[in-house]
Amino acid sequence: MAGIFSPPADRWIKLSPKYAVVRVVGAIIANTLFWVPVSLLWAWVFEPRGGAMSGLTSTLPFAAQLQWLAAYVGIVWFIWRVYRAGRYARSWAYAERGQDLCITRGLWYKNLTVVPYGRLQIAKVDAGPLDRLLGLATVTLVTASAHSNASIPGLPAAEAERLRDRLIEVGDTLGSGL
Amino acid sequence: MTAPYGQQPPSYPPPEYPETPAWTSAPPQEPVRKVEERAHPLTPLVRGWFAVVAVAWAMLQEWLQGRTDGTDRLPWWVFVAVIGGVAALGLIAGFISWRFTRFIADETELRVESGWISHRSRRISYTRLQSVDVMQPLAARLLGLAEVRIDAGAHDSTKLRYLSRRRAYELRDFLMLRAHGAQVSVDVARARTADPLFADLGGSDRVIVTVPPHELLLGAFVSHDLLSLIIGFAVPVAAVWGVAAYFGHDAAAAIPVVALAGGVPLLFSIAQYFTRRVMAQFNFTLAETQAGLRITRGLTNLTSQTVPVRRIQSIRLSQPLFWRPLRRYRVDLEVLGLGEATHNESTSKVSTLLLPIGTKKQVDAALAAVWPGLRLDAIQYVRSPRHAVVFDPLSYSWNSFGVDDNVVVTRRGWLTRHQSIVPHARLQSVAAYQGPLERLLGLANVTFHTTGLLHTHAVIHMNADLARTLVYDEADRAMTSRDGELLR
Repeated sequence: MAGIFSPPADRWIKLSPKYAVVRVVGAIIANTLFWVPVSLLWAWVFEPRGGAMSGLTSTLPFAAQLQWLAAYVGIVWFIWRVYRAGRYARSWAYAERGQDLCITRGLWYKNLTVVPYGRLQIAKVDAGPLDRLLGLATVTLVTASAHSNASIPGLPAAEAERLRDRLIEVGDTLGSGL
Repeated sequence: MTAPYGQQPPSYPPPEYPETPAWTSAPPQEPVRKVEERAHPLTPLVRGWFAVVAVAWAMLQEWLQGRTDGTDRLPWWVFVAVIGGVAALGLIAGFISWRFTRFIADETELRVESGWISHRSRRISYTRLQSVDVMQPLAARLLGLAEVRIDAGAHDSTKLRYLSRRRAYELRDFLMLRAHGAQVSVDVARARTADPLFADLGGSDRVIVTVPPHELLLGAFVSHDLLSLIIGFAVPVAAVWGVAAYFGHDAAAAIPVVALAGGVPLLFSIAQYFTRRVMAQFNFTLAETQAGLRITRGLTNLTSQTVPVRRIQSIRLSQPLFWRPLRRYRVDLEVLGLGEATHNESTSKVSTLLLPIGTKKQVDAALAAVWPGLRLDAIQYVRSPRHAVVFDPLSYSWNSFGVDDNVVVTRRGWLTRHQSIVPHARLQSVAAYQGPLERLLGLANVTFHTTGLLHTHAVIHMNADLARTLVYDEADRAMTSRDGELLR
């Protein structure tokens, strides 16, 4: 299958493998912050003996299992998200093609964004605390459109700065305005 | 540079440019005397007017109520004192704002200084002007005043209020000529400006489309808005009636009550809906002037928008369901600074409307005025593959795209059919996306990003291989295409 998301030039340039670590850590933190309180609240509400709804829950079958249902769901979801986070990070890639930059990302919902260099107004490099710890940075391309939403995360910091400078230089020579 | 506020800034010599600068007609050694202008002295009156009317209205109601109740009413001097106080406060606030607002619009710069407690100085580049609008709310219009609204960039617009109507038109014409790159002097623009009371049309302007009131009424009558208004009233009334009948109340006896309780407010809001819409769009005129396209509309509040043709990023034709048998269309345009598509057609504010309602012929005339090079009828449309009907049973036959040398046209939407026209030269970026089900069926979506906010430049559920070709070809065309052919 040739596929809509196959590389435009000879190959996609993948991100640094360390970016998967960033996404995995992010998924662990976000899912822990969400599921721990939700599971505890659920367990408290569906406590069969003396819980908030014990009058109802003690009559149900599988009352003991029901109490920890949210926790089980949470654990499964947690494992799934953490597993996917790494794969999602590895799905992200970019390539230069003639006079534009192509970015692809996504596993189930795949996305391909093409930004002509001439439309580039600003090229930004951002790095969060975890990024800096791992020596990574995100390059964002800003055009006059608010919908462009083109960014390449997880580049080695030096590579990100080189890409930014290159994009701006090429954009300057090709620039055509609004 | 710490010149005290209000003093003339030191005049520095014009910078050295390789080309002959435009202001060489004035000898450069002679210091240019800046003409600072203020808004019209009647401005505070207009700005305080609304508060006075609101307070007077509230107090009148209080007074009438006191009269019918037979309770003690307030002595007359209380009314006079309160209304007078509010009027005085409004006048003082308006006066302060007026006193501290000045602007300069001359050969070299456009600058607006304002603010009493914190000063603000804005300087706007002539070449970056997006559009200049002249608004006349009723109160200002009665005094012969107008507001000038200057849009540059995506930031909020700069407002000059209020100028005399003649000065507002003069300034607008001058700014628009400068925005088009013409090196006119203030005096030339002044000599060219007409001062019409109703239409805002000069001698050399060419009217392209006018929308008569009966067309506006037709459009308002067969709109989704009216239908949802009626449903919004009918559903609760029917529900209450049904419940009452179910519990054994006499349904027939309730008819007059229901008619009175539901029907009268409904009639009122329908009447209001029609009048507001017609009043806002009254005498809608699209004209071609030397300074760009001009849109004039309004009965009580006169709105006059001027858009430089070169700033138009895209155009969208829409056709609500009930307009299809009537063959009427609505046209919106995308200009930086106008913001999101206008949904409320009864607003007198600046809108994205190029034509509120028009026949195919009028739409073609309006499009020809924007892009004379556009050959919309010659474009071949490519439809989605047959099995895309799974995703869009109702809009399947409409979803399509077409490309020619200058523009890419996309069609989508089922309740309201949209057709977006984006010049390649105005495209900022292109994207394709595909969900798991679409991948299974070999379909994909392509979105075209422009600076505007109309959100509808997309081809949905098209052939995936074709989508890939379209994305990359469109990126190439975005770089190679120039709008010269489209504009001339």
